[in-house]
Amino acid sequence: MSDPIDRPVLTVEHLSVEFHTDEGTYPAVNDSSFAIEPGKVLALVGESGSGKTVTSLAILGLLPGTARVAGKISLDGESLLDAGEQRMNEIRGQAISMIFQEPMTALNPTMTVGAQVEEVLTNHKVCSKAEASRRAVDMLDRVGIPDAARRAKTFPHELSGGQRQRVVIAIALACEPKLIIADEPTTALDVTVQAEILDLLRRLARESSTAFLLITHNMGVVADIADDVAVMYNGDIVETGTMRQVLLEPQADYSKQLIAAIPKMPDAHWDDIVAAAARQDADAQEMTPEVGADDGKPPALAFSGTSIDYMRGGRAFRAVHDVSLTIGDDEILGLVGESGSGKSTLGRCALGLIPAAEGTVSVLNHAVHARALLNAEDKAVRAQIGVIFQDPGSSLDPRMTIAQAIEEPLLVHGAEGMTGRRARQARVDELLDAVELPSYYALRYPHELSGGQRQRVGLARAIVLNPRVLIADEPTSALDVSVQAHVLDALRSLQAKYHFACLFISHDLAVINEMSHRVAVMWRGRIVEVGETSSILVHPHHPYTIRLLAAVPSPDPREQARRRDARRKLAQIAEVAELADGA
Amino acid sequence: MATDEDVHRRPFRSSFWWFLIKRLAQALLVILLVTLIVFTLMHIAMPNGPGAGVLGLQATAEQIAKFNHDHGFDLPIWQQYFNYLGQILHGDFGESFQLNMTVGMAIGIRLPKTILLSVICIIVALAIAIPMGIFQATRRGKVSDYILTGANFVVYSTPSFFMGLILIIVFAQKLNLLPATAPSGVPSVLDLLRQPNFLVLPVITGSLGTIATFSRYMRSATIDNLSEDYVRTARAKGTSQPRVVVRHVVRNSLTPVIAMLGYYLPVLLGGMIVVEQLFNYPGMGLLFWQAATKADYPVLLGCILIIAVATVVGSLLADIIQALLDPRTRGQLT
Repeated sequence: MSDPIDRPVLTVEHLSVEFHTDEGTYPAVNDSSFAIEPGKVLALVGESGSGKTVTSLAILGLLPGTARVAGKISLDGESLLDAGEQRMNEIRGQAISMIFQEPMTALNPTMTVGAQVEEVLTNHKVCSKAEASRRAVDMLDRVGIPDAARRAKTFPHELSGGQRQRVVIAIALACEPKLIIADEPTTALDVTVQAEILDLLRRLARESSTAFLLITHNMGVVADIADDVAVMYNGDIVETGTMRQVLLEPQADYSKQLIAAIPKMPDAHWDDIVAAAARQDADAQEMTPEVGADDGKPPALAFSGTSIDYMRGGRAFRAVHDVSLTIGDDEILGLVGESGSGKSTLGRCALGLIPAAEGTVSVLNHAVHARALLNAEDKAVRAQIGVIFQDPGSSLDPRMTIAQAIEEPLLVHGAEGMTGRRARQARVDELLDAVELPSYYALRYPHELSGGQRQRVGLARAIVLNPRVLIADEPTSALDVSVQAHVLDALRSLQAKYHFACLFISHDLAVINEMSHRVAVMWRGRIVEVGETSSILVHPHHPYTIRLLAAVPSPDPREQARRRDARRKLAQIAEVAELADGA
Repeated sequence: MATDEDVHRRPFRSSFWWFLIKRLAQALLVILLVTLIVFTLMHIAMPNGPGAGVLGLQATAEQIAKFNHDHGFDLPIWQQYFNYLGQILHGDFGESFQLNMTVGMAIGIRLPKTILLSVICIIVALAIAIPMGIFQATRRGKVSDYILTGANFVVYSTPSFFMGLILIIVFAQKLNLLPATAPSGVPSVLDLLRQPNFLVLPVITGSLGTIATFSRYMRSATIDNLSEDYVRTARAKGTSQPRVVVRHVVRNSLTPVIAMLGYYLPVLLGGMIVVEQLFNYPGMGLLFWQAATKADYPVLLGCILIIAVATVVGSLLADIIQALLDPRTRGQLT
């Protein structure tokens, strides 16, 4: 490297982007400036709509025709905004490459993954065609795809999400670019997979002089791999600084709010956890999960030996195995697990949407049945269960007003004292007030509300019948952190007011920590650990819970350094154990 | 129900062969139903048997009754139907009332010429429609896209016999460039290929509608694919936009369009009836037309049977082609 180390690879000066459409002109980025040095990771953070992705596409020159770009972007002194399309095609993939958010759709479904890596090499005539296919296999191997020579001949749908993201990274790395733009590279992945991908990116950033522009909304990811941070809000960069400065002592008001809104987790006792794992603690390995709090009262919701099957391709697939779990009155139980662990299936079974293949589900000692035609008793049980789903955009009927959506369960169940219009209207007003929405919202339609407001409406609808049990399935996963914080607050105060039991399903351990009294960890269809939230998140026992906890990136850089260290030690212990097993 | 052993071995009931067996059984059922419906409809249209229609206005009632009796048309309809099915199983489609030959022979002579015309029409139509759809998709919302879309609608909403007549008036009568009718006599497929002039106007008439239909499909499939994430990935690799279209988008967009082609086969054959009649082209369409106007019952049934077979074979081919083009659906034919 002949360049002095402090000379930036990329400088962005006074960048502004506007979109000119038939309806008018929308500013997306205003007068933003930043720079990235070789071998460094700059995190561009902010919530949806803040202009992060627009900035990255402006650097690559891939904005749609409606965009007007002003300012200066230079890569090693070359102005990118003045480079023609032909020159940009040479730069894209070779000098600057990109890793995308959605590994499921970022690859061409009808081309083998090897050919897709080769394409970037042949585009830039880095090597001959035969050489390219050999280098493609090397790249796949380097990003940690096992049996790379064989996998190169497979199609994207034959790989897991994490492996596909590795292929996308291999494409980005193939030409050894000066700059890699990673746009939410781990957002679509499970936390344990995310941790592996972050390890990979971290290693690549350390090994090479490549600069990384990391676009993310996840402060844990920032704490894990970023050197510097730029905070973006509404098209403006409101703060820049080193990662520790910004995360620990934010200066701008927006950065302070953003960091305060992130759900917190207690610091785990990593030394004890690692020590216990090293001892192969017998009682830790074979701990039987505690079923539920025993306070003599009938549980609000109880699963007893519940197994659930799905039909897949004409064959039964067991999604949930023998789950026994109770939730007491006035209790929030957090159910955490990764995608495919069976947590949503369990929630749907409690709602009577899918039948249990074995065992029972009961609400206040009444069995829940999944029948197509409900009898009076079934309906009475159903009225005791409220539900709120993940997607606030599609779970409300677009042709119903907010009032109609909220009062619908009252009509369906012919709720007592709610047959009159006045009574229903009063109930809707009361609930809108409880979720902190003004009462004139009653006559609005869902598209007139923001995502957070819609999710509050979802909450109001879920509790309109005064249910004893609320099933909340990832209620805030589609929301930005600051919005999430408000919706979680609303849910917490509703629970304090109405004392319902809540099964709170989430993949996010920090959210679970803030919401629940107890937590159950689900893995491959089984509950592997249940207990008080404060004890499980500080000192978990089951190996999977430990792995999960160590994989969640903490937004506190000091805690994150401890987690990373613990993860490395645990991996070594596992390796040693495997070697011992082998012998 | 799955057991532990067959988790690793692909069970026969989700294999390709089981899929084929199921689809062929379905196909047989469909063909059987089609013959039943057509048979019933003909009986309703000619409750006294086809005798009156075949023998013409001069025939006496006795002659008609004798004709119907000789050909078994005075039996109860279900008996007539089973007699017909029995014949088919022996490969005997009956005897034409008009042509002095068996139905098998009549169709055997005509069908290859219809296949020739259809295949040329399809090739010509796709060769124009696919590039046109891609062109329009890449210039979506621009003047060229609007002009082609407008032209498309004009063609699409004009009946093909009308389009054919205009072509005849312009190219055959006014300009005298191309012949309006096929060579006289009974030309063979080879005769037709030796005089391709005769094919030009029928092919244009037969393919215009197909061009309009398929360029629309191709345009919307390409537009869908152009907004896919993998296109952005390819652009970020430094692949130029035209090259992204050629290397990535075309294949992904072709999958649904080619699959549509299988379902389009019977529509195309139906269109050939009009085209052949218009240009006096000696194919199965013309045979069908003549049989229909002259109550040539056995020929009519034979032609409908062929179209029914083409329909089920077309939809089977559509599924198989789709599976071959799209690796995601490979091995999912169930």
